Formats: sequence, structure tokens, C-alpha cells
Amino acid sequence: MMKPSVGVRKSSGSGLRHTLHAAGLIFKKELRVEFRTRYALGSVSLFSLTTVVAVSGALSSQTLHSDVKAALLWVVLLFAAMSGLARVFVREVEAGTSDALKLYAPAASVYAGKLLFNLALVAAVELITVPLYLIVLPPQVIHPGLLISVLALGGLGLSSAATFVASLIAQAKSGKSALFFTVAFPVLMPLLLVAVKSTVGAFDSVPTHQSEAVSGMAVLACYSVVTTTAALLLFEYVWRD
Amino acid sequence: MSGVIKVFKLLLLPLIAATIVAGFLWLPPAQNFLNPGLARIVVFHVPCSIVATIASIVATWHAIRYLRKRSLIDDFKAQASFTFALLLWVLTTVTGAIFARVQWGAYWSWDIKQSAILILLMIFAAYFALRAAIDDERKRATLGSVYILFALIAVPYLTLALPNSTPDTLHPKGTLTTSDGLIFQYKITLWAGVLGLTGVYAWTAQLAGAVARLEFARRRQTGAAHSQAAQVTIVEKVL
Amino acid sequence: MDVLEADEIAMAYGPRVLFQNVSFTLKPGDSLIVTGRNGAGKSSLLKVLAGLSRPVSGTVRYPSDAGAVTNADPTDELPVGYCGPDINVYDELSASENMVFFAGLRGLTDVPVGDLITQLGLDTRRSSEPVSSYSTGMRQRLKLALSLVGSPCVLIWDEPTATLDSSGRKLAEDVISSHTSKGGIFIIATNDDDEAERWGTKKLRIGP
Repeated sequence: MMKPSVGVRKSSGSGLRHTLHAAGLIFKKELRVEFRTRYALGSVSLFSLTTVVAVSGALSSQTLHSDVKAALLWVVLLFAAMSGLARVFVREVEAGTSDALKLYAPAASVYAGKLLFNLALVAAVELITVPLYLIVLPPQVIHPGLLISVLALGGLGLSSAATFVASLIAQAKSGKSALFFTVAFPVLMPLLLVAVKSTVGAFDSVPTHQSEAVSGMAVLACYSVVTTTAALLLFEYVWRD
Repeated sequence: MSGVIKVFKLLLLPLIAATIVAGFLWLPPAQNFLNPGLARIVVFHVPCSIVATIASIVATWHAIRYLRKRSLIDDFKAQASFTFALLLWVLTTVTGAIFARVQWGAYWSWDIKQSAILILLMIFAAYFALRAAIDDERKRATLGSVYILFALIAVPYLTLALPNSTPDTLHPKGTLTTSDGLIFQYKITLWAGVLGLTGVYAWTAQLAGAVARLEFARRRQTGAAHSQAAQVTIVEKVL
Repeated sequence: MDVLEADEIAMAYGPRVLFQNVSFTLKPGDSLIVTGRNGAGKSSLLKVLAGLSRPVSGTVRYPSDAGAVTNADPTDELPVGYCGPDINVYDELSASENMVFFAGLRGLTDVPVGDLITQLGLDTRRSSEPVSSYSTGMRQRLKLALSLVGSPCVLIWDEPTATLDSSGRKLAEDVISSHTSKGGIFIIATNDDDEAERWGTKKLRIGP
């Protein structure tokens, strides 16, 4: 007679591999669920398209400085992304699957898997929004390398911080959307300020702006590293009771 | 030891009173300022920011302790220190804005230091919003403590790194430490202010701790009274 | 060590104490029935035993081959299968996708998903439709099947038969007796006293 097993056997030294594998499974699950319901990508894309059209309609007759264009771009990206970034945790809690996940998945995998999904979501938002924005509100010059780098590093920091904050507010009893914005924006402000400044360097040819943009990139990278590290260390406490 | 503390508490009032009086009457008006008299607000502004930093650090320490020991008293103390810190940060911002008005003509000029402290205020305010939205008190304590740790990574960046990252900020730098910054009377009043305000903070923190202990002792008593309802009986059946 | 030991567990909700000084030992083959009025704290106790909730005080020690495993260890490493009203499976995924996903999270790759599904009476032809199309009873059977993934030593079920029809209940009982006869430990919370009397070896009542 087979005796029931007494636990998950992780072969020695493969704890990290197990965590990474589980993170990958969670990421794939998020993608699969998203493709079957299309909530997040749909509402987020619609938001960014509407905003870009509205902004261009209102401002197309003006000549705008590159710093205004840079700021507007990030405002649209931020709001569009934020409207979908909390779903990874809020949906689990509201559907009641959060506890099931707790029973089967290591904490770090949960954060990593959902972070990967949010990274994909932010990348999708940027891919949809930025080209359209550059068409309707073209800056006088575009430095593509700089722009792509800012979008990538800024998007990374945005996903990292927003995913962690989402895990905090998902456990609130009501008003989660408003709470998500309230708690996430202050933490994201430094990122936003630096990202806008760096984008200005990508939209004009003033040398000081260029050098500020490059140093801003370093700050964005640091922000992402610090946020992700802090999130990974603290997530265990958020996830477990 | 408690005798020494009592003496210090008694001296606290005269100390703070002396600081305020000195700030308004004893200090000579500042040189090179638009409104030399009002510029003396610096001896109130700086102690606020220093003690706010101390209170923030203490709150962080209590948050760490809560996450390790899970005693709700630690969470209570963390919240108390955090609240005091927010109060002082608000005062720092307000006194700073008044100083900005007299020195540079505008209360708010989106100078990097001002933007940074505004972000800091928002980070602190969000803590209370988060706590208010959670029902279960242990969950509230856990998430509150985690938030303190996560968000307060930003504080050194916002108070030190960001403002000093560009040279074109209006905020004076290093005037406390350099010899040609503040004159002697300013320095002594300022540090007296720091001492007094720290005393007030320490006293408040001690009272918060006492309140927490009383509350949880009361709970233990009521818990014991209700132990009848919480009774568990275990019966073994032999099949 | 092959026993499950609960040592001085106490749980509170806010200032209200639910239970305290809960201690018991369960040997292989034991089944514990937890009873009590609605709101007494049965679900809370089961969640503590499953590692989903942190008790105010006390420890739970689980059967393990090597070294001590307690409820202070990560929840996903505990040798527990849990099914309760608060947890759900993913509506957008099918039954087999759910099973494979959760099994994969624990590092299990060759789980006999089809067997577990039929063991709880689910039609394998429907097992690739999304769970959103299932009835409550079918969903419950899936949740019970899920708790068996990995053949955990300790099975914890909270009100498992409330939404099942009589054939479902029979299948659940078969699972329980098969589990305990193989040396597993079983814990159930139920309001159904007759059902409980039939196959519990120990009974724990919370409250008067």
C-alpha cells in the first residue's frame, strides 16, 4: 500500500530552479487567462487611444515645447498602464483564487510571475501608445535609441513598483482602484520626474538635455533595481498572513 | 533614572519657550535676505526636519520589529512615530514655504527640494489611506509595516540625493556644517530647538507606548473573561 | 515523525478570541472532526492547520521524512491538501488546466490528472471546458480532486459535502476512507453531525 507523501520534495540545490519554474508557470497562466478574457489589454489600449486622440485634438494647432510633449507622453502612459496593472492581484482576491495560489506556489514566484505579466502589459501599452503619439504630436526631433531606452527602463521601474503596490491594496475591503492610485503615485513620482526629463533629451537636440537624459537613465535603472529588490524581500510578508 | 527623566521633562517647557523667544527676539536679523527678520524662521524649520527624520527612522525600526515579533504593540508605536513624523514634515514644508516667500518671493516655486518634500508628504499620507482600507487589525499592521519599509527607502533619496543632484536649487546647502554658514547665535538656538523638539517627540513616543500597553492588557483581561466561549473540547472515539 | 501535532493554538479576530489552548495529536489513519456553531471558528482553525492563516500563538508540526516541518515554513511546502469554501479554482481555465497548473507549481509533473478527476466523478469529456461553465457541485468536485494532487499526507476539508449530491458524497467518503487506510491523516469541519459520527476517530468542538 502506497503511503501518502509527506511533502514537496525539492531535490537539493534546485530551490531557485523550482521558484523560477513556478514563476514561469504563473506568468503563462496570467497570459492564458488574459487571452481568454482580454480585460486588461482591451481597457488599457482603449484608454491610451482615447487619451492620445483627445490630447492631439485639443493641442494640434499649438506649437509645443519638447518638455510639454515629453510630460504629456508620460502622463498618458502612466494613466493607461495604471488602469490595468493592479489586475494581477485584485482579480485573484476577488475570484477567491488567492488562497489556492498561496497553498501551491512559493511567494517569490508569485511576485516574479505577476511582475513578468505586468512588464508585458506595460510593453504592450508603450507599443500601442508611443507610435500613435509620435504621429499626432511629433516632436521636432526623435533620438530613437534614447527614447527606447527611457521607455524600457521607465517601464521596468513602473511595473516593478506598481506590481508591489497592487499586492498591498488587493487586500483592502473596498475602493481598491482609488487606493491603488493613492498609494502608487507618490512612490512613482520620482520615476516619473526622471523619465520625463530623460524623454526631453530624446525629443530635442540641446546638449545639456542629452547629458541629463543619459544620467537620468542611470537613475531609472537604480530605481528599478531598488524597487524590485525591496519588493522581493518584502513580498513574503505581504503574501503570507 | 526616572528622576533624571522627570527633571528633563520639567526643563522641556522652559527650553522650548526659550528657543521660541530667542528665535523672535534675541537673534539678530539675518544678513543678505529680502526680509531679514522673518528669515529667522530657519531656526524652526531645521529642527522640524531633523526630528522628522529621527521619528521616521524610529517608525521604521518599530515596523521591522513588528514583522519579526508580530506584537501589535510594536505596530501601535510605529504608527504613533509615523504620525508624529508626518506632522513635523508638514511643519517643515510650511516653514520652508514661508522662508521661500521672504527670500525668493514665492511660497512655492517647484524647486527640486520642494517637489521632493511634496512627494514625501504624499508617501506619508498614503500610509494612512492604506491602513484605513483594511479591516483585520493584524493584516493592517502587517501591510502598514511593509509599506513603511518599502516607501521609506525613498526618503533618503528624496531628502538628500535628489535635491543635491542638481546645482540649481534654491535651497541652501551645508549651512549647518560649514563655518561660514550660520552665525553662532543662530546655531545655538537651532540646536536648542532640535533638543527641545526631540524631547517632545520622545515624551510623545513614550506615552504612545504606555497607551498601547494599557490597551493590550485590557484586551487580555476581556479575553480571559470570554474564555468560556472560546473553550475547546476534544473527544477521542474508539472505533 | 509521522504524527501531526497541534500545540497551544490560539486564534483571534481583532479583539475577539476565537479559541485558545488547542492541542492535539493525530496519528496516521486518524480523522478529526471539527464541529461548532456557525462563526465559532471552525474554518479559522482549519486554515491555521493548512498554513493559510497565522495563529496568534501556537505551533503545528506536520509529518515529515526528514527534519521538522511546522506552520512557520512556507505554506507551499507543507504536506497538506486543502479544500474550503473560501478558495476557488480559475474560472477561465479548464479542470485539467487547473490541475496541471497547481501541480506544476509544487514541482509535480506526472500527476494523473485524469484519474483524479474521474475519482471525484467529473466527466472527463467536460474536463477541457472552462470551469465557468460548471455547476456548483461540479466545481466542488474539482476542488476536492485538486486537494488530492501530490497525494499529501494530511487532507483538510472544510464543509466538503455541503454542495454535493448523494453520489458526490459517496465518492468523497470513498476518498476519505482510502486516504486514512493508507495511513493518511484527515481533518474535516462539518455541520453534519451524523456524517461526522460515522467516520471520525477524534472530535473537536469549538465553543459550548
